[in-house]
Amino acid sequence: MFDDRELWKQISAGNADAFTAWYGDTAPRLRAFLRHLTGSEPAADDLMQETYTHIWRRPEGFEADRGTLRAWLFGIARKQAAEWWRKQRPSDPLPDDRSARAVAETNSILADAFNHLPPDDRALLWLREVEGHSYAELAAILDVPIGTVRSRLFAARESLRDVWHSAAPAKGGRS
Amino acid sequence: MTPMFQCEDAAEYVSALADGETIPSAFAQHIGSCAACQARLHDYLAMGVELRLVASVDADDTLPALSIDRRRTSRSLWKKGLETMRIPKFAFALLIVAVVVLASSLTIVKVGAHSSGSVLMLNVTAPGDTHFKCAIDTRLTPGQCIVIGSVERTMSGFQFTVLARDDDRVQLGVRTKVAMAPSTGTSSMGSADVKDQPQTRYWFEPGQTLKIDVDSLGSLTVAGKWMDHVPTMVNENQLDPNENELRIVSPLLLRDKQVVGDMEGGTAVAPGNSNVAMIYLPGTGRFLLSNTPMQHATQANVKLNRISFDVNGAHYLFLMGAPVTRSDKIWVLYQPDFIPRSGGEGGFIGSGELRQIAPEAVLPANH
Repeated sequence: MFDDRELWKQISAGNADAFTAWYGDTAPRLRAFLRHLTGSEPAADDLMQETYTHIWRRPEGFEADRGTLRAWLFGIARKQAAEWWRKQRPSDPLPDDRSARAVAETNSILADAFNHLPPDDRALLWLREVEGHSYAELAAILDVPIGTVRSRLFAARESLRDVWHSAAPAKGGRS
Repeated sequence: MTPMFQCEDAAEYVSALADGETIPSAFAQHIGSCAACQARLHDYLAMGVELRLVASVDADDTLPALSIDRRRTSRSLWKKGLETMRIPKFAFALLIVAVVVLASSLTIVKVGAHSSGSVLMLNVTAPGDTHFKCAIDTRLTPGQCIVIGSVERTMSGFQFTVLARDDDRVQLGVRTKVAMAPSTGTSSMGSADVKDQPQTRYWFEPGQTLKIDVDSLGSLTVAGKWMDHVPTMVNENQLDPNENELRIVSPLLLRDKQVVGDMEGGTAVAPGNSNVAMIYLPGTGRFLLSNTPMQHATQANVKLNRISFDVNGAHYLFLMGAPVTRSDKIWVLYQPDFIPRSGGEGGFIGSGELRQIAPEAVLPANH
């Protein structure tokens, strides 16, 4: 088991075995993140591949002083996903497999509500709630001040709560 | 006295509280006594739990295989297809030197415990006590360097390529070309001339020495070490140029404020007043730079790492990665029609004696 610096030293030196092992450790959660960010399994798999390929080709981008390797990985994936969204023409229909499997398996109203949020809100909430990144890490990933992280998280939660409540009115009113 | 808050005022702090952050006391008191804020907090926490539940289901999939192919494509260090050259210090007068031809991809190699870098720095000793350094970035494919220079009375070119790596050892492919240098007139050798030569393979381990016999020249002794970066090799890495020395480091050329050439990483040193530096840019031509006047040359102003001059109504500015010379004036001869013998597809940087590189630019003795 390596710490971030040692692992990155190995990867930077071109150790493909170390990189593949790291992929095995991190890819499942990254894939889930990208699925919910794009709403498309094929797109998520493509972006995941692009993310790891990007890192493999440009390992010099990681700065251990700025955050963890995982935070850096998710930050790159988020940017890849943002670029993917940017290329989606307004007339393009939304992907029709919007995390359908996950929704079906959890039967979660909230998951459905989550998938109706703007991509930026989805990314932020996922990175905080699921990946557990700290405010400082989120600030580094999003390249914004910590105060902005707090306000954006609040706005994203409120948006999700709005959609959630409207989808399940029985949950009660809002303040 | 507890300040009065609306729930909207405290809502952002409810979110922070859900994240485990501490919040100002006044807001904490309000949230603790406000049913609506507590309902919001409950919702936020429940949303987090639901999301993690979704993620747990989703992350339990079989992963697709990672297709990195164990080959790494690196960003090209060369712009617009220019072939850049790096010139180490030579203990002899340079004619043309070209080192480090970088390509656009790399081979993944195994890294052993003793390795501490991906750059192989070769120290080569040639006949006549000629020394040169040659840095090979093994993350590139081909990871190689080319050195062309004057050795004894020959014009010699050497290409070193890392073909494979096994722990600290590397398999080096070596090509050599030796030509007798004419005593007068121009002489040149390009990287293409060296690349055409047959390649001999050697296993080499940094820390040990490798002897390579070269026909018509003698033996090369190769030593080396692993480094973590490609160093800038400008006369023992001193930033301040030596007396009468002219240095070209990573030049970027602007014509009327438009970039017309970028030779990032290219380096050349012209020691002494009889030597000039040269920069060739495909489609633009050749620039000869000298500390002393040349026939038909233009005087240029030098400020540390900048050279500015005007030719044919256009303003030129060379931006370098290091101070150019100790003088504040140099001379630039622009030859827009110059085509190198190799055909001019790749740009290059070099240095050499003016009387050999461009005898027509040598001023008459009585000037």
